[in-house]
Amino acid sequence: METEFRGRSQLRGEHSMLMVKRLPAVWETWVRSCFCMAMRKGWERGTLCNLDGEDHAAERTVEDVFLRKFMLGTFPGCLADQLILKRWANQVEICALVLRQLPPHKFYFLVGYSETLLSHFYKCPVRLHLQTVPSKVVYKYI
Amino acid sequence: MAAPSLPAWLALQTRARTLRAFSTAVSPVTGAPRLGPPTTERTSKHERPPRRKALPPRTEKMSVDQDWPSVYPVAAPFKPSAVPLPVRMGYPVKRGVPMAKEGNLELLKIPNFLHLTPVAIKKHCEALKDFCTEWPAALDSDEKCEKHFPIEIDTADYVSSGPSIRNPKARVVTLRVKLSSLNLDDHAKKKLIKLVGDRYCQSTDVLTIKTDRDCCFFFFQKTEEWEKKKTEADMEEYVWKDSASEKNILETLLQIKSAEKNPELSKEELLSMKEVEDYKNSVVSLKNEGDNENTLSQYKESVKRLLHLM
Repeated sequence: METEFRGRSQLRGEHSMLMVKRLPAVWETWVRSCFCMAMRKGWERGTLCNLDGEDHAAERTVEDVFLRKFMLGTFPGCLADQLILKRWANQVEICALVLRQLPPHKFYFLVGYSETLLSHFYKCPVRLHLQTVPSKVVYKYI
Repeated sequence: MAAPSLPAWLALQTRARTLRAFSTAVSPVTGAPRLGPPTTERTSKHERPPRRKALPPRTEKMSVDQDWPSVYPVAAPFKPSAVPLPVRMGYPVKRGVPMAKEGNLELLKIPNFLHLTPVAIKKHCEALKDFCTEWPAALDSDEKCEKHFPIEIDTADYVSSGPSIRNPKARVVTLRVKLSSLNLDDHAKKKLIKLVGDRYCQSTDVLTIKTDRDCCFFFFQKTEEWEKKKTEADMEEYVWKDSASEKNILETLLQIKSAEKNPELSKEELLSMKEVEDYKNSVVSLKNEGDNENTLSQYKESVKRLLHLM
C-alpha cells in the first residue's frame, strides 16, 4: 500500500522511503536528486542539436519521442530499460537492452523491419543495436 | 557459429538451420555484418522443452593476440560480450561496487574509441598513403609560402546531427591578403585603406574581407571624381606641402625679410633654405608620429635655427 503523503524528498523528485512496497529499480529509473544529472548518471540521448547556435532541435526531439514509442510497441514486453539514442552525423543509432522473451529469429525479423521502416521514414540510416540480458538488471531496491 | 553439443540435437535441427540463415544475412541498410549479441546468447521460448542454454559470450573464445580491428572495425556501441575487459561503470550502491558490464547502460551512453587503437590507426595510415603526395620541397618556410601564395581563402563546412547538410553559416568566405604583396602604388594603397576601413589591420598589414559567398574585387588604380575633393582633414598622413604650417612660416619669413628691407628672396628660395627644410621635417614627424621627446626637441631646435635668421 502506498501512502498519499508527499514528503519533502518526493517534491524534489527523490523516491520516498515511506513506500512500503519494495520495488526493484533498474538503472534508468533510479535518480536520487537533481545533482545526479551528469555527476552520477549520463543522458540517454546523444545529439548535438541542443548546443548553442545549432538548428533543428525541435525536429530531433520529436524524432526521439517517436522512436521511443515505436520501439516500445515493436518489442512488446522485451525492453529491459530505456533506449539510448545516439546521432552520428546523419545516422541514428538506437541501443536497446532486451530480455530474452522472443526466439532469436523473431528478434532478427523485428530488427530488420524496424531498421528498414525507420530509415525510409527519416531518410537517413537508422541502426539498431540490441543487447540481450536474461532478466532486468536491478540496480537497487527502493 | 558452431553450437556446442546439445541434448536433442536432431529435434532442433530444422530451427537451427533457419537460425543460421538469419544470422549470416547482411542487413541492406547498414551494409555490414552484425557482430556480438544477440547472436551468441539465445534461449527458446519457455513453454517449448527442452530449453536451449545460452551460448557463452564471444570473449571466452578470443585469443590474446587476435586482430582487434576486425572485432571493432567501425565506431560501434559497447558490446559486453565482444569486449574481453572486466569493465565496471556506474555509481555504486552503499558498500557496493559499480555495476558490471552486462546490461550496463552507462557504458552504452558514452562514446567509445575501441575502433581507434594504435594498431588500427597505423592500418588506416598505410591505406591512405597511396592517395597522398609529398609536400613540395621548395616550400620549406613560411615566408616562401606567403611569397608564392599570398592570398588565403577560408571556407568552413558544418556537420550536425540530422539528415540536412545545409547550414547557413557555411556560406561565409574569408579572404586574407597582405597589402605588401599586392602591387599598389601609394595613391591606390591609400584609397584601398580608406575604402575598407576596419577590415585592414595596420600592425600586421593584412586585409581581411569576410563575405557571403561572392567576393567583390575593387579596382584601385582609377582616380574617381570624389577623390579630387580630398581636403586636409581627410589626409591620413600629414603632408607639409600646401599645408597651413607652410603658409604660416612663409608669411612670417617674408614679413621678417620685408622688415629688414631685404626683399630679394622669393618663395621657392625660402623653401629651399636648409633651416626651412629642417623645420618642415620636424613638423611632419611631430604630426605623423605624435608627441614624444625626440620630435618635440627636434621641433624646438629647428624653430630656434629658423628664427636666428632674423
